[in-house]
Amino acid sequence: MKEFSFFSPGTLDEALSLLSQHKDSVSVIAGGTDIVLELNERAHTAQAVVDISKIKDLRYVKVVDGVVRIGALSTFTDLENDPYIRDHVKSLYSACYYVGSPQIRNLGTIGGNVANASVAGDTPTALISLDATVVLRSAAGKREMKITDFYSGAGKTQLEKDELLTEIYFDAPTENMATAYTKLGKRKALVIVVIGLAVLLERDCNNICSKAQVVIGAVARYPKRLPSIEHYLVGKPITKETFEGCRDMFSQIVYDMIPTRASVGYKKESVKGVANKTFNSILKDFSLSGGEE
Amino acid sequence: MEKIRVSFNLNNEDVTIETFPNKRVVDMLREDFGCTSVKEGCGEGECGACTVIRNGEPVTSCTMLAGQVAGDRIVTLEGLSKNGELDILQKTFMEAGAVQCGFCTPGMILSAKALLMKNPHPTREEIRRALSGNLCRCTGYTKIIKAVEMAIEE
Ligand SMILES: Cc1cc2nc3c(=O)[nH]c(=O)nc-3n(C[C@H](O)[C@H](O)[C@H](O)COP(=O)(O)OP(=O)(O)OC[C@H]3O[C@@H](n4cnc5c(N)ncnc54)[C@H](O)[C@@H]3O)c2cc1C
Ligand code: FES
Ligand code: FES
Repeated sequence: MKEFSFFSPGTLDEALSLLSQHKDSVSVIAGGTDIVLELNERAHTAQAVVDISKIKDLRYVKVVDGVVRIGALSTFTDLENDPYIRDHVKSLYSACYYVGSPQIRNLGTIGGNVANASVAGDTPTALISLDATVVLRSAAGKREMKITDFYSGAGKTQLEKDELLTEIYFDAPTENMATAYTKLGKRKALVIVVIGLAVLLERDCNNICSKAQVVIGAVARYPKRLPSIEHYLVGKPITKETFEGCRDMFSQIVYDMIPTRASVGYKKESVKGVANKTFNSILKDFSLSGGEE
Repeated sequence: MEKIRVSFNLNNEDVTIETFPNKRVVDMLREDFGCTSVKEGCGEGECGACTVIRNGEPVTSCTMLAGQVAGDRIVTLEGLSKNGELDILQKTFMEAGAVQCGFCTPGMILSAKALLMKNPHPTREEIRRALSGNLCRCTGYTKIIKAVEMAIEE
């Protein structure tokens, strides 16, 4: 491993001032599950490493005035064990529940998952379907932006070297909404996402779909909203038949995204099963027939 | 490179060490504290051989930097046996034939231990999930699950 100096601030202010002092060559480390490998193997050259994992104030889940606020240092285990997330934000719950292994869930943070912008990240897909906003702070101030704007494409984000991602927030799903996330993983040693599908649906009092946010991850370079599916769903009754009616659209979308990729045949077929499972979970949450047991 | 000072609790003893910041926890435990039960398999967080219990939760020590355990409580297999008396899991692993080459065993036992500390009567499914980050190339898991179930009964 390359040489570096190591800092372990206990407060956000300390961390931000360290980042601004060292911004020419600094790496942030939270859980370390992505970056320690990088520091260890690749010729990573940061001269300073700032460990933010001891900043207790950045580890929380709270619901205030209808907004769910999650501190960047919350681990996958924290989120999976949070009763509110489990009962009311099933998409995010599932995204965390199916991450790697217990050890990785105990260390890995949602902030690291979002900031790392890996193609195979589970929570970004779910968070985009929740239309989440990220909060970035530096010694100079604070910026907020939609998570979709945070990703500037192909593994890049808007984070500056002297900034920390401190919070992710989104509107709490209402009684008329259901959310779901399905991950299709391929087993090498631990499961890495092959397809991740996140859905948020809202219905009106006649069981007609009034809002649909559908996001596919791990197929293209970064998770993508699927406007054609969303369009199809809005205005239709929320039934098994409606959902079955868009299964082939999913195949076509996957094909259009990666027509030349070797995995296209497999992904194009398996996305139908993934869509099925996701929509079954939504039907179940709405207590409608056709949902899973 | 400047050394850092790290204080934490290792196997029920408060310790302080001066070490290089680019050391991983697995290397620090093995080299500086002689905890050779902590194994490095893949070095990538995949196999669980380097598992230790940190503040009650299993974590992979190959994905953590030494300075990150400051103030934490760390338990390795060395910390499970008390006054030469083996932990119940160490006994049932041997009785059930859950140990072949033994490389995965320390990490496996620590993951099981962390589970039982939180949930003394887990279901088979809960045991499987708790051990899903520990790979064993020899035994095929059935005997490992059995060993954990035997420990629950005692
Ligand atoms: C064996 C294994 C299995 C895995 N399985 C999965 C899986 O199933 N699904 C999945 O999505 N991921 C998986 N991962 C990837 C990883 O665990 C996650 O991406 C995790 O969320 C990263 O969080 P961390 O806190 O460990 O990040 P770190 O490794 O500490 O940091 C990752 C990157 O984000 C930056 N960063 C972290 N926090 C902040 C912050 N608050 N502000 C600004 N920058 C920040 C760091 O500088 C670094 O560049 C796996 C990893 C391993 C090793
Ligand atoms: S050596 Fe750490 S998980 Fe394999
Ligand atoms: S006993 Fe050999 S790897 Fe498990």
